Amino acid sequence: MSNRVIRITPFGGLDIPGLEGWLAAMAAMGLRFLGTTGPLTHFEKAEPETVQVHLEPIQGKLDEDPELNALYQEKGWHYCGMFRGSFFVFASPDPLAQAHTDPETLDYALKKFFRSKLAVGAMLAFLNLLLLGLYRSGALWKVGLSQLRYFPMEILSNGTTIPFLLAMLGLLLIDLSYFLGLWQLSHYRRAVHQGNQPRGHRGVGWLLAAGLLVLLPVIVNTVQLFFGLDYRPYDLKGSGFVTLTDLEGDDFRLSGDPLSNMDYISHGSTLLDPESWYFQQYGSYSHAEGGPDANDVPHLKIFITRYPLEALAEKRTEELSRQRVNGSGEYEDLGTVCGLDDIRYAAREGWTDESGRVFQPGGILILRLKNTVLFADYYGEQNLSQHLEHFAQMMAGL
Amino acid sequence: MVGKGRGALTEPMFYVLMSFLHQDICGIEITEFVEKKTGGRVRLGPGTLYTLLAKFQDEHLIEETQTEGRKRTYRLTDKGREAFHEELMRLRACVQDGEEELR
Repeated sequence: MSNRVIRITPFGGLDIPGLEGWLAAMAAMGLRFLGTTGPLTHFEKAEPETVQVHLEPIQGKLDEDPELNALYQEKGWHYCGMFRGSFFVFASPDPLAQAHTDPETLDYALKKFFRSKLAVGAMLAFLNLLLLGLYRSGALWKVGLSQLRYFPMEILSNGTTIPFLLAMLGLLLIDLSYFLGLWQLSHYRRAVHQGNQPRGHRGVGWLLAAGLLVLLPVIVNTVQLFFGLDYRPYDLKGSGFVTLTDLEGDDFRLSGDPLSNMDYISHGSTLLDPESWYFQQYGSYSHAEGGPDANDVPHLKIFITRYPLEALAEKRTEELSRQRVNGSGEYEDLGTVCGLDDIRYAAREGWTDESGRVFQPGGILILRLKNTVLFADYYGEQNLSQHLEHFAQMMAGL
Repeated sequence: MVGKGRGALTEPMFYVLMSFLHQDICGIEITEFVEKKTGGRVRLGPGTLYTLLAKFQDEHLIEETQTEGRKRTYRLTDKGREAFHEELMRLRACVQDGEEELR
C-alpha cells in the first residue's frame, strides 16, 4: 500500500497564512508535507503531530539551500520540502518558535517576493496572449455569432473554436487564481506591517486546479499540432475511396496537376479536432488562358468527419442539408439503404451565366453512418446517388 | 532601511552588521554572536537572518568568502563598515539627545 497521499491544494499558492494553517492541520491528521505538482500537494503518511508550519519565501535560486536549512535546524525547525518554487516549507513542534523576529525584515522579504511574483504575473499574461493567439481564428468574434447559432457543429468542429474557448476559460481561472494570490500576499504584507494576524482564504486553490483541468486538453492539442501529430495522410490506392474514375469510367482522363488530382487521402485529427478525411479529383483541363479551367471539367470533392457522438453527427447532417452549393437543389431523403443511417441527395442542374459560360451539373450527397458524416460535392454528368453502395463500403472501411 | 538615504537600522540589522566587524563569520555564528552580545534580548529568527544576509549581499554591505558544506562565510565590505558607523553615530546622537533632556 502506498505511503503517499495527494490532495488538491485548497488555498491559493501565495496565501501564506492559509497554506501554513492547512499544512499544519494536515500534519495533525498524520499527513506530512513532501512537495507539490501544479495544484496538487503530496503528503507522506506519518504519525499525527502538532506542528507549527512556516513558509519561507524563496529569494533567488530554487535549489534547496543547505545554509538556510542549517539556520532553521539550529532553532528547532526541520525542512519539509518546497512549495511550488515559491516557498521553502519548515515545521517546528514548538508552538512559540519564531522564524521571523524582525517585522521590518519580514516586510522587506515579502515586498521583494511580491515584486518577483508580480513579474511572473506579467509573464503569465504574455503566455496567455501567445496561447490565445495560436487559436485566434477560432475566436467567436472571428467566426461570427450568427454562424455559431445556425451552424454550431460546423463551427465547433473547425479545430480552433473549442481550443480557443477552453483556453479562454482555463486561462481566466488560472489568472484569477494567481492575481487573487497576489492580492492575498499584498494583504498579508499589510497585516504583518500593522501587527495583525491575517487569515487564509480557502477556495482560491480550486480555481487553479479547475483552470489547469480545462487547459490540459488545449495543451495536449497544441503539442499534437506542434509536432505534426495532427496530420496522417495515406495512399488513395487501397483506401476504398470513391474516385472520379469510378464515376466517369476507366477512360476518363484525370488532371495531371497533383494539387487537383490527389493520389492520397488527407486525414488527421487532434484531441479537440474531430477525425476528418478529405479527397478531391479533377478531370484534365488546360492551364492556358481562355481554355477550359478546373470549373469546366468534372470534379469530385469528398469531406468526411467523425464526431465523438452520434447525436452530433445527426446535427451536422441536418446542418449540411440546409446548405445550397453552386445552385444545388432541394435535398431528397433517400431513406436508410446499404446500412447507412442517413442519405440525402441534392441534384444540381447545369447552368449558363450572363457571359455565356457553362457550369457543370452534378449533385451533393450527404451520408451518415453512425457518428461519421460524409459530404460529397460532384460536378459532372453522373448521379452520385447511384453509387451509394460504394460510398457505404468506403465509410464502413474508415 | 539600509540603502541610499538610509534610515535607521532595526536592532537585528545593526547587530548582524556588528557581528562582521572583527572576523569573517557564518550564519550560525552570527546567531550565537547576537544572542551572546545582547544577553538574549535580541532574538534572531532563522527567516530573519536568511533575509538579512540576502539583503546585505544585494546591497553590497557583505560578501560571501567561502562555502563549505552547509556553512557559508561572509565578510563585511567597506560599504558595510560605513553603514555600521553611520548607524552608530545616529544612535550616539540619539543617546546624547536623550541624556541632555534628562539633565
